[in-house]
Amino acid sequence: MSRLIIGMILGGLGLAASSAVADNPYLEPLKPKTFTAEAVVLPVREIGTMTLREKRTLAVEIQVQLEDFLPRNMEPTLLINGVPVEGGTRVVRVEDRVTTLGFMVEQPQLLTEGAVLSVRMEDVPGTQAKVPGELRQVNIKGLSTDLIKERDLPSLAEWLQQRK
Amino acid sequence: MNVIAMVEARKLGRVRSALILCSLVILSGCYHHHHDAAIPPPVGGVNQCVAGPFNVGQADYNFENEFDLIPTGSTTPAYPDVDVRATIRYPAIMKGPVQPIAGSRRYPLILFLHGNHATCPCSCSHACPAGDRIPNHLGYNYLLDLLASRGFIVVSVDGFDVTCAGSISMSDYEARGRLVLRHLQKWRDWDVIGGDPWGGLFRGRVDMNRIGLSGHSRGGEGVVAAEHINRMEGLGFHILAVNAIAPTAQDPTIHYVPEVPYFLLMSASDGDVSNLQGLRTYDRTSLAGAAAQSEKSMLWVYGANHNFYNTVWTPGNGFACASDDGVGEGRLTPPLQQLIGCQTIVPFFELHLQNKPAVRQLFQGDRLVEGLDGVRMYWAYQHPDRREVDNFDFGDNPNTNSLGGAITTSGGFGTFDEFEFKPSGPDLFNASFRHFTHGLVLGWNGPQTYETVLPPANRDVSGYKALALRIGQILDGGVLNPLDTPRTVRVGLRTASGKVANQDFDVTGVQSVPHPYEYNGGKTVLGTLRVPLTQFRDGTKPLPLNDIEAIILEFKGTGLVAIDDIQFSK
Repeated sequence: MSRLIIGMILGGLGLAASSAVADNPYLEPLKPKTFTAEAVVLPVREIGTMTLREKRTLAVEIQVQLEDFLPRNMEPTLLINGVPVEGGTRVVRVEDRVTTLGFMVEQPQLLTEGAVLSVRMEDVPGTQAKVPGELRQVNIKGLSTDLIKERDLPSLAEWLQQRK
Repeated sequence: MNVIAMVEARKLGRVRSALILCSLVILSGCYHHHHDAAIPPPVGGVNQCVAGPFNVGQADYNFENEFDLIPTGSTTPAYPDVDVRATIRYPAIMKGPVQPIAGSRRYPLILFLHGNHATCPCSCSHACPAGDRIPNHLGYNYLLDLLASRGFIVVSVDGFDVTCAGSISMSDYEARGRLVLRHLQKWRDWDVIGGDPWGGLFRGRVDMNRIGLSGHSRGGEGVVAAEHINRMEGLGFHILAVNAIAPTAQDPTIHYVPEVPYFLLMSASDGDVSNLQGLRTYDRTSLAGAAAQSEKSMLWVYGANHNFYNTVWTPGNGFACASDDGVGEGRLTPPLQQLIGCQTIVPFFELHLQNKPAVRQLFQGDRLVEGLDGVRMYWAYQHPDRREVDNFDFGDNPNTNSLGGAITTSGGFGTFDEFEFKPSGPDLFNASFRHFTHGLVLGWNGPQTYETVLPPANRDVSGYKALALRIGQILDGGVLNPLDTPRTVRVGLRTASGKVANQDFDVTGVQSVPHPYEYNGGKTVLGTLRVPLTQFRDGTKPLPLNDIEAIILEFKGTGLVAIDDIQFSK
C-alpha cells in the first residue's frame, strides 16, 4: 500500500472524528476575540544541577483572549501564518467568560508584519479559529529601556531583526 | 466496536493470560474458534478492586496561602500564595474521620495529583467562593479508599493554585511537581517530628522509605517532574514508583523521565490529551545505555476516555463542568473505566511498595483481572535486566541488529524498512504513530520470514525468562490489517546447532498485538509480546538456551506491523 493511500485513509478518519462535534465540547472550535503582544524576559531556568535555560532571553508573549474557553490538559497551539509556535502557554487572567491565554514566541522570524494568527487544539483541526486582526510590530509592547540595559538584552527592534 | 467484536474480544481476553499455543495470531477472534480445545484455562484471575483488611480512616488538611513557588535563582514568586490542601485515607482501627491508625507499623505513602480542569464553575477563574470550587482532587477517592484498605496512607493533593494557571518563569508542570514535593516535606515532618493537625496522629506511622506517586493528565507529568526534581535537587524522598494516567508531556524546555518503576495507563478514546503524549515519556524511559534502568509498563485501553478516571470530571456525579471527552465507538462506561483504574493502579503500588512480586504477571500481560472481559486492551512491559537484540535506535539499517548481527528475510516483504514511529518529523511511515521511537515496518501479503542473528558472544540467554518484542498493527484502513481476521505470526528460536523450536513449542499471545485504533484521528500503538522461554521446546525437552543463534518471525496471510525492542528479558 502506498503512503499516499494511507494518508487518504487517515484524512478520512479525521473527518469522521470531527463529525461528533455536537456531542463533545472538546471538539468545538475555539472562540478567540482579540490579542495583544508584549516583550517578556525568559529567566534562567535550572532544576538542581540541570540547566534548562542558560541565560535570560527576550521573547514575545502573544496574549489571546478567548470566550468560553474549556480548560483542558492538552495545551492549545498558536499558529502564526499557519506555522505552529513551539513554546509554553499559560493562563494569564480570567474575566467573566473571557480567558486570556499567553503563548510564548521565541522565534522572532515568525513575527512578520501583517501576520495572521489562529489558535487550535493540535489533534482536532475543527477547533481551529482565526484570531481577529493582524500582527503589527509597532503594536508589540517593548520592555523599558532601563530593564533592557539592566538585563543586558537586545531591544525589541533588534530582537525582531534576528533570525534564529 | 460492534457486539460481535465485543464477544470475540471477551473470548480473546480469556485466552490472553494463557499465552501459550501453537502460533502467535495477530488479534484474531476466529483463532479462538480454531483452537478452542487446546486453550488452557486462564491463569487465575485477580481482583484488586475489593477492599482489603483495614478499615479506612479519613482526614483532610488545608493550609491556605502557605508558600510561594519561586524558581531556582530568583526571588520573585512564579506562583504566589499556594495552598497546601489534600484529602487523606489511611488504615484505621475504625471507619471514619480521624480514627487512630490501625496496628503499630508504618504504612507506605502514596500521593495523587489531578490534572487541569475548571477551577471554578466552569472556567479557569480562581475567584469563586471556596465552597463553589471544583474539588478536582476528590475524584480519585475510589482509589484512595481501596488503597487505604490494603495498607497504604493515601493522599490526594488539591492543585488549585497550579491548575488553570501558568508562569513565564516556571512551567505549570514543574509547579505541579514542586507542589507534590511540598506535601511530601510536610509528611516527612509529620512522621518524624509530629505536629500534624490531628495531635500527632501520623507521627512514626508513615513509611517515608516507600513513597509512590500517581498523577492524572497534567498531574501525570507533574508527578514525573516531582520524581525528577527530587533526584536532581537531592531532596531525599524515597519515591519508589510512579503511575501516570493519560499524562501530558508538554513542558516546553524539558522532557521529564522517571528513573523508578513507571506504569502508564493510556486511553484510546482520549479526547483531551488525544495525541497520547504519555507514550513519549514511556519511550524515553530506561532507554538502552541510560545509566538508570527501571521497570516500565503501559496499558492501552480501547474505548476509555480521559475524564472517567476522575469521578469529579465524570458526568452524572453531581459536579459542575464534568463532560465526556471520549471519541469513537466501543466506549467504556465510567464504572468499567474506574474498574480498570483500580485493577491496575492498586497492584502497581502493591508490587513496588508492598513487595508483592506475584502481581508483576499482570503488567507482563500474563494474567487476567476480573470484570474486564470484553475490554480490548494491550500491555507493554520492559524489564530493566535484559539483552537488547535490536532496539532500532541507532542507525537506519534494517539489515543489522543492535548487537551487530545480520538480519535476513525471505525476500518477499512488501515493506521492510526502518522508520520514525512519531507523530511528525522526517522519515515517518505514516502519521498514525504517537510514539517517540524508531523501529521496523514489515508488510506482507503471503508467507514471509524475518530472521535476526545473535553474534556468538551474545548467544547464551539462559539467564533470561522471556523473549519480548514490541509490536503493533499499523493503521492502514483494514487493507493488510483487517480487524479480527486470523493472520499468523510464529515466533521461533534457533540454536547454533540448528535446533529450532517447532510448531509444538511456538508461542501464542492472542490480543498481544494491538490493532490500530481507527477512531479519534487513528492511532498505531505498540504493545509487548512476551514469550516465556520455557515455552520453546525441543521435543519434550526445553530448548537449550545457552547457544541461541537466531530469532525467527514467520508471517502468514497479510499484515503490516511496526516492531521495536526485540530483547531477551528477565
